[in-house]
Amino acid sequence: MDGVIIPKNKITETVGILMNKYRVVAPARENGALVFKELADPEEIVLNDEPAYKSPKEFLFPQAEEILAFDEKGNVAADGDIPETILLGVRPCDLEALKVLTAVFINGKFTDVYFEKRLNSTILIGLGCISEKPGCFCEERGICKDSSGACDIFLTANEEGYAAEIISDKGRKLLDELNAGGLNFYAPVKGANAGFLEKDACAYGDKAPHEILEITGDEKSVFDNTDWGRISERCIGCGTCAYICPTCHCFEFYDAANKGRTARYRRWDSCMYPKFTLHASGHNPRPSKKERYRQRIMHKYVYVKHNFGYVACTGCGRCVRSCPAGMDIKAVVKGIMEGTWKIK
Amino acid sequence: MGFEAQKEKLAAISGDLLSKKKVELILSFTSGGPEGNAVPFFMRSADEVAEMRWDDGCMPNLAVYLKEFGGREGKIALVAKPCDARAIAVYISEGRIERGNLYIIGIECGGMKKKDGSAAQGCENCGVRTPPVFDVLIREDGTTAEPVENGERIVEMPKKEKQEADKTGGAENPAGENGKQEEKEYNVSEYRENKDKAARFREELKKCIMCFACRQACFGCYCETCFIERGIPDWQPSNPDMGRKMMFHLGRFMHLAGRCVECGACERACPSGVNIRYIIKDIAGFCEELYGCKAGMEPAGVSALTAFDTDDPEVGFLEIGNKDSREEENSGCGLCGNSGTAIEI
Repeated sequence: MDGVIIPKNKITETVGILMNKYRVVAPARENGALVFKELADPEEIVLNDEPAYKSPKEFLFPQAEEILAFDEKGNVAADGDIPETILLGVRPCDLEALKVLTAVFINGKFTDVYFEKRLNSTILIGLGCISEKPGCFCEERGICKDSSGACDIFLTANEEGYAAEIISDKGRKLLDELNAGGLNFYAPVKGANAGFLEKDACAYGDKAPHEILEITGDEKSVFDNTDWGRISERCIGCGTCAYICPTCHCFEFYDAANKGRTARYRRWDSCMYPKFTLHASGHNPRPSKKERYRQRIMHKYVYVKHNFGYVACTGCGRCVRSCPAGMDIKAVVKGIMEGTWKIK
Repeated sequence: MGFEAQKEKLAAISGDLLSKKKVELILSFTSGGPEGNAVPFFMRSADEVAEMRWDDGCMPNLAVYLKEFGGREGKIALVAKPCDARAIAVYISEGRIERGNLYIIGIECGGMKKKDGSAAQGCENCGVRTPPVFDVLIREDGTTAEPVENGERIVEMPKKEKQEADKTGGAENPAGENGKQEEKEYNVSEYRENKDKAARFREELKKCIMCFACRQACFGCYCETCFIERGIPDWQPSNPDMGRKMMFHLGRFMHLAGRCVECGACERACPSGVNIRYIIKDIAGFCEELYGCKAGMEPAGVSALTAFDTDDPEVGFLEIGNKDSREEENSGCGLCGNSGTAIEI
């Protein structure tokens, strides 16, 4: 595929040019913590091999999103405009996760207009990882750490700078725009000459299927015959895992009135919370953390796979790194498949 | 620190408790996670004792699990550092646990350390070396001690320990993150006037994503439904808005006044690295200074929030920013700076 090489010392200049026209969201430091945020200054961008502790999903599926508002007279507020956004520096695991979210929100039975609108006005620029970080397990999930086609442009860091590979028409258009701006520091690279740009098969591409971490076989039996109580006993139900996960997509609605203005919001929910799936009657089908943790694992590894064809865990390792109680989803799923947690 | 000697004794005691079926479960520490950190360990058989860990990385506060276990189902044991034991003492004073169903293996602790060698969150200025409540105590040198009075008594007075620790200065207590000791003055009126404190709070809260991990990790937050999630309509949605973040954290702090044992679990649980424990430290300081109440040191005592005396000093610390300056800024809330979202009751 075609592409250009962006020299290392020109990356902030390039980001600056992009910022003239687009809202650029990229990894940057917020009081020390590396997060995806809307850049105010191109110098803020951090494109090293460090993973952002939170996934970038909030820019397509915000933590709290106003979906409807009206005033006392009944005037309904117009929908806000979604700015043209460039989501830059998204890792292959997170790009894979966006595939899951797209499947859930757009390719399913219903189309989620809010997600769709944001996705359509977003240009995704991926960035390959150089090394696996502690807790990462994309390899076990069969996902390449250093390449992905689930974006518009994919960046690979090398000695000269960043090789930017054009994946989609949207990506091609963006690079054309940059070139039309009279920039001369991009060295165009064509197809076969690209070398490192070409990644037909990633290092894990030929991994034997049985090595890939997933729940297979009799899933009903996993639900029934796994000792979820023991698995989850260390969990303190904090919900951090859901908030930083790139694929968690459960949400709830609430209405809020404020000084004559009433608005309906959609906000993230987490299966770790006691109020998750609490019925109006007061009954909760998942009354304790044992059922809630079961939901977490089964939803990610079984239900989404059944409904949309993807396992909703991409091995980004965030929950493993951030869990205050040391829960490890990889070890849990491995244990389930090896029969460690079977109820005797 | 004689971690090895303590660990040996701990293993012996744990093995004995489990093999003789004196308890069904022991809450302790083991290594886990991607970086081999100390994580909670639920030990059910004497064979597992070898996997147990005890060193200066054992930060988790195990008392948090008593929110659920509370002695309801059989007898359990718990390895209690001073902060864990103080948390248990708070539970006892609040009638949360069945004391008879809990066997406390108290263990003296000179403070935990982060990977980089600096003091762990909560250990920076902690002067409590000895758990205030225990059934058996493992001292720093690995010897054991039995409780003096009725299973609930302190071996040394905590106040004295604290004063000694203060005297020794930084040697025993490594400095805080900024390399300087936290201030020890509890000047309440300073909070009324000091805008920097509000600014620092606001700055830290920018990182907060309202996942409530701090609340869940806290032993003291055991309400079945948190005030932040209570009520129809939902008056405090988990919307990452500055005013609401402040409402949540300040509300939580108020509920923990005189109950927080400064174990640092909230800060360790936070995925975003929000560092606002300095406020609760100050509140704990107020409680100690104004009401003579240090959380978890007196299992039989009452807490600052449950006792009332007409002579109690009345000083407010929430009154940040005076009225004039608020009018000047023309904002709804003098603290969070949100315009037009003042909460009217």
